[in-house]
Amino acid sequence: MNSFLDNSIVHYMLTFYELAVFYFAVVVMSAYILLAIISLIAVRKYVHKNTFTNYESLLTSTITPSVSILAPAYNEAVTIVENIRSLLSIHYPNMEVIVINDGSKDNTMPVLISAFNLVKIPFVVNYEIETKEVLGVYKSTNKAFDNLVVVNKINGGKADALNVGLNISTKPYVTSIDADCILEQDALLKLMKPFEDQTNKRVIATGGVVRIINSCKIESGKLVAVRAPRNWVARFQALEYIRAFLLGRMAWSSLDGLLIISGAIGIFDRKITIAAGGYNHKTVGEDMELVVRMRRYMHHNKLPYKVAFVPDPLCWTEVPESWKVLQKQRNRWTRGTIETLRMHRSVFLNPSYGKIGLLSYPFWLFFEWLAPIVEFVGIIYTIILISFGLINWPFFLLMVTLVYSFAIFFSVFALLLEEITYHAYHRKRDILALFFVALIEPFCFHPFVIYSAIRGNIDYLRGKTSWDKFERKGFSGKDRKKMVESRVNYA
Amino acid sequence: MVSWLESYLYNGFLPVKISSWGILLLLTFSALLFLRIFISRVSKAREYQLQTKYSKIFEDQLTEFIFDEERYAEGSPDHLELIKSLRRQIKVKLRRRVFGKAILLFHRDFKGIPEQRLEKLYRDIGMSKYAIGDLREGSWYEKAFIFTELGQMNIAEALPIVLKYTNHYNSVLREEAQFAAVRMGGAVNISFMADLELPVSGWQQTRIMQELDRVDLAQIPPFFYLLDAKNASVVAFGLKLLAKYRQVDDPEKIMAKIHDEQEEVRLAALFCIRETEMYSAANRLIERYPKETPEVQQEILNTLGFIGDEEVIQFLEDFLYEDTYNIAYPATRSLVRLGFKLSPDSGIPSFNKELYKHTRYELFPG
Repeated sequence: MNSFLDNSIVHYMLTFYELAVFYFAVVVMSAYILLAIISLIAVRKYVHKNTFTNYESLLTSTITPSVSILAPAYNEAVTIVENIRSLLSIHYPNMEVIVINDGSKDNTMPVLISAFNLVKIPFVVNYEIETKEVLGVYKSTNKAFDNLVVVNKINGGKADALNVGLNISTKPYVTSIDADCILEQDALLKLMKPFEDQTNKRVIATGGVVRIINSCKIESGKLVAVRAPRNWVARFQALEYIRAFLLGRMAWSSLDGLLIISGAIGIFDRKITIAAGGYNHKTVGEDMELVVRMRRYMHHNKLPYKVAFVPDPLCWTEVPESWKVLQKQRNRWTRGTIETLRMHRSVFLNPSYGKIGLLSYPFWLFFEWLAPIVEFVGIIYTIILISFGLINWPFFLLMVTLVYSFAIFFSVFALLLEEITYHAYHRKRDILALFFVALIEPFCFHPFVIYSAIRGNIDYLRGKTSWDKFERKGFSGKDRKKMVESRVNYA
Repeated sequence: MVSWLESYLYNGFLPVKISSWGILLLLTFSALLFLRIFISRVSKAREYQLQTKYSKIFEDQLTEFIFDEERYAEGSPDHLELIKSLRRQIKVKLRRRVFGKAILLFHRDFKGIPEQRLEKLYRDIGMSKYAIGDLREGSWYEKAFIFTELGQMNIAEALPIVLKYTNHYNSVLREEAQFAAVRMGGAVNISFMADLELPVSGWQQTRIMQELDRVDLAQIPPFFYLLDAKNASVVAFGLKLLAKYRQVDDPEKIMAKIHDEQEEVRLAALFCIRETEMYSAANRLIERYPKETPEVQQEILNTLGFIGDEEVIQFLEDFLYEDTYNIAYPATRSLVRLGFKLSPDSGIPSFNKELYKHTRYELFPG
């Protein structure tokens, strides 16, 4: 053992490893600090700019652009009527709701026909994107539901259903809002604003901030008070979402390098979405993949464009409250990231793609996909060193403290940004709870995220492609729970 | 300094030194940021309290001023006392801001004489002078708010200053200045738009159009001069205004725009032709059709459905054999709109027959 320790090659290898880990950590931390500063400037500018915006103008204008809301449904007979009514009541003047029944095995279609007095209409589908066959298009005989279109099709998965919605829609913009989210009343108006602001660059998509609704106070389907989640798993995610949306995505949007728009809330330019090929059913991360493909399409055709991001909290969603379900969700996110990065690997460090080739893609590759792997390898390596008595304890502890300090700093920065801009958490105890989460998260939650990412990598290598949509507790009782159970594995 | 800490912070090995300083800075900043969260909460709460307090005072004063016209008649003791009191209050910036917001809210809710009285009160107490003075300093968003205020309160003497900002590089400042200029001058003074260099967004067009809705129709001037602008978005906006107010005195000028270089302008011209039902444009559109981009072609086919005659029907009938959906659909729809009836034994392809049924149902669901 002593001879092994004395071996100068081993000594050099250890030193090299320590330095490599150190410099990787410094680069990662510097990148995140830079993003945080960019985000701070961008959010403050947005908030100032927004004080001059009267969204009522869009509501009453005759030239407001029209939007189609796409709502894929699979075995949702129990809650479909309630969900559609909720979508129809969204605050927007010029919209249609397209419900796509994706070959449900339950009685979703008969329930819809009876609830909305639907009749089959003569309709020729423009198959601009190849999809499974459409069996029929239905409209209501009741004038009150004039802006409702129901499509019955052969089962093909969520992406296929969304593509049918794209084919059927006649509006210039489309959005697919998750039926189990609660939207702010003016969410669509705010998301449409960047499209209306466009001048020299075509806005091809806008995304909004998703926040966590667990433990919040909801009355009649509306959010009335924001609370920090009581459940710890959800509470960790509450802080994580603030960091990701307010710091990460806002900064990337400001740098014009945003690669992802959350599937829960986003509006897309229909023509460009179709021209780029629509939703891809070969990936579990179709939201990110679509944005990357649309960007590539614009680059190939040398069309000036922009992907916009609205930092207002627009959409409130329920997150998993159990480690098991969270693991499945994160596993899927990792697989989605790998699939997208692999499908678009030609973008990597390709100067013809500008910022996405030189900045966004490498960032996702190194910091979103590879960082958990590097961390995992680091942990294993450290355990080996400890077991062989080779660890440089002072340096190791210094590194751990550095990373921990950075994690706290980054979380507190995100909390401050939330505080000076949207101030969603009014109660002092909620902010204190989130601060406490910032202190313990690096030891409790972060290792779990790493573990889930590793599992995602392994499952990707094994060729796993299922969706494993998580089971939500629901906002309004047992019915929604039944619906969510039935939607598990719908992809 | 404690020796062990010193040994880390001034260590000869660079990674140790960087890490030590990094930890120290990150933890210090974290503590400061955390403190800032609570300072922000306290200061926000204090500001909110003050704002609520003064809002209440000003709202009460303004309510009395509006509803007790007799008591606050021009030159009456109460009127003079109110002016004196408000002049004293608005010397403090926070109160001035609160008063500005309060009077804007009242102004928005009233029309006619109360609106004019509020505008006069705004001038009498010297708010307009403060606002114009504040334009010289302050950040872009403060200036933008002043434009909103000056525009809404119709302070015409500020128009020359406001116009200077209508081509400003900052989009918010520019848009608020443009909006204020429209408010101050009404439809008559929209001429500054012809000189705009930067594009006018759809959002700004919507706002200006809505502002023009407040103007009496009899006072709306012809907008043909906007079609001479070099800025494509201004020309497109001009065409939308012509469509909205049905101004068709110079149809040649509108039709000339279907040959414009910019697609945005050509599309707006088609919109204008459709909305004003310019029947004389039909043949020109048919001539233009083969030279157009797919998007404009679709719009031409769509427009023909609103202004067509027998000749147009003949032109559109050829599209009953078209198998490209994006062309066949608008053509069939226009045919149906023009009253064309497909005979049951027609030899057109089944796709087009189905499309005919589809568009017929869309236009005449009964």
